[in-house]
Amino acid sequence: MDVLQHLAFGFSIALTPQNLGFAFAGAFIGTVIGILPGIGPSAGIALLLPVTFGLPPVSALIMLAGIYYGAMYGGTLTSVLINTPGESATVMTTLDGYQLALQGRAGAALGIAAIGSFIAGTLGVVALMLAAPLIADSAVLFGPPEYFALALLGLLTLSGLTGASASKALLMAVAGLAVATVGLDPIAGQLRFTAGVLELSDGIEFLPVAVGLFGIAEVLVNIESPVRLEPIRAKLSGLIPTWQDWIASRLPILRGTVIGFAVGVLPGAGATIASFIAYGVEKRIAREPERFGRGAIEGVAAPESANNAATAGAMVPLLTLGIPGSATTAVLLGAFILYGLRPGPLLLTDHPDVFWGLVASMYVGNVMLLVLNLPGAPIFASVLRLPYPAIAAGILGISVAGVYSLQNSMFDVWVAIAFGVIGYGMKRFDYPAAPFVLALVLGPLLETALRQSLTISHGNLAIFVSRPASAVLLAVGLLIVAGPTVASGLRTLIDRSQHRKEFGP
Amino acid sequence: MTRADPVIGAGLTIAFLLMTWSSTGLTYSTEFAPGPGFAPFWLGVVGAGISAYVAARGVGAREGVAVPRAGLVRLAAALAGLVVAMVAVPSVGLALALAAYLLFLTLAIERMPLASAVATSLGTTLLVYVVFARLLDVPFPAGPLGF
Repeated sequence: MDVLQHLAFGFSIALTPQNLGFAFAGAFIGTVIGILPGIGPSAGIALLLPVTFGLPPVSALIMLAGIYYGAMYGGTLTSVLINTPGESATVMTTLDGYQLALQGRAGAALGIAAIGSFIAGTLGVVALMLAAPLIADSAVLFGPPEYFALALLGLLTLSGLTGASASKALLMAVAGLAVATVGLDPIAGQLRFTAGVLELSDGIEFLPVAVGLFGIAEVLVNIESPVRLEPIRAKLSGLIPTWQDWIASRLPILRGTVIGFAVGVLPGAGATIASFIAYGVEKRIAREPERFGRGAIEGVAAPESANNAATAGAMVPLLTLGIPGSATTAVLLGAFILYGLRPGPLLLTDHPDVFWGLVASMYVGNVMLLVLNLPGAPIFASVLRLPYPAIAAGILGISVAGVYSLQNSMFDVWVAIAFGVIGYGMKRFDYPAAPFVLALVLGPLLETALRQSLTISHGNLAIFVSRPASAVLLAVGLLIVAGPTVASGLRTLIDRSQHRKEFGP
Repeated sequence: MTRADPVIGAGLTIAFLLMTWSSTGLTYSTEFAPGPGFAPFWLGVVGAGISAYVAARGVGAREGVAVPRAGLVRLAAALAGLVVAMVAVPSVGLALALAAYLLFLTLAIERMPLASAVATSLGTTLLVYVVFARLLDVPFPAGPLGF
């Protein structure tokens, strides 16, 4: 009952004409961003964050969250029509979505993706609405050791699951933490690594870094190796799934929802991992697994549902603990902070309008996205005909102006350009940017929590393992980092011993 | 791992060692609590360790990252143009510098037809100017033309 009252309060905020407009704008822009290959929700939110300056925080966050889950819908279109994921979370959709398009069933693929995304997105928000208050209540008891362990877990998980080499991902996380130490020390107020540059006293702002790494770097990569988008000439009719498609997809949608939400809640996992797992599960339990990769509608339904449910799941640690689990939620956390809000257990009590308004807007946004994406797919597909140079010009123009507007300072523009070059190198040499950005955002929290914990324990590190919650979180983090190496080592030992048994020493 | 990793790893090792060394000038600990130098010191040590590991793993790697020469030239020209444009901002204003750079990018680097390049650069600059300078009241550095 309490939840329903809060939700009604949230709807009273989300359904104002102004906020409906921002939810629509977010959903629409998110869909377009999802469609444009190379520019994901992290870049989209970072680029458009300055445009929201001056708006009430609730309206701004409603729009930015709309971009986040809207991008999941949009990414499907390129996966199906040009076999290129518009967003990393729609990689798995290319496998069967493109095959369906080649068979003349692009409409069916897009239709089931939109409906699956709507169901998963809506159920995900229900789960977020029910889980968040419970987690926030428990998190009120969290002290600095638990926050330290939680933030570290997020970093370790993201580093362990980026798909790049784990050592490179960890290196990027440490580099992000190192950059976060620049500026005024958060506790003692001593200046660190500013090299006498006044602008560095407040540290390196996350927005220029995020714009550089996700926006400018992407443009640089495409300037160096231009992309040519050639959508297949598919008929986009028949967007309403047939009865057979629906029967085949209904359980994959539900399983994708559960998997997506559960994975999304985990710090560091996120929509991409969720879609991989959901696809893998469907293939494993299918009666005819050989159909997957050849145009199975379930191969579209499951990952699309999972990536949308994951966006709602990812909001749980962000809103209740203030711990982002992915690059996109790290950028969203930055947006909260820029608006003077601190996500965490107290957000629900201190700013119920923000929390419940955002939750209610996600219901509204998912309905808008379904309405936009079913009849609007052919219109959105025309975005793919935009020449890339025009997109690049738009990204660079918004990057420069947006970053400048943060503090009306050209210094931030130079920081963004510098990180654009660094980001280009990271992309080229396969050093993931997500752990870097997450570490940059979490750095001050991690350091403050570490130092507060050691102050409480008089310098005794045992405080992190003597408290059950932090001990469990650290153990999970250790398992994620060391687990694959230990497992691989054990496998080698077992293989060798079997080899010796069979063939002698 | 690629052939570039030893170079990148070595560079980062040096950077992290420098950070460790610089952090010794900061207060390492106060009574019972780590000071401002604690985190940078250990981040430097851990970062140097991981960088050295990445460098070592990359030694002997056969895989390289193939970047076409023409692509590198385009990239260098695009970056140089961006730097020149941003250096010129205090003199010519942000809007004009941006428009000129985008024209250079679309016309000279991306080889768009002249009309499309002009339309893209002017259209983008106009959009950015209206949104940021007019709607959001961001005081863009102005040039001799007053914008």
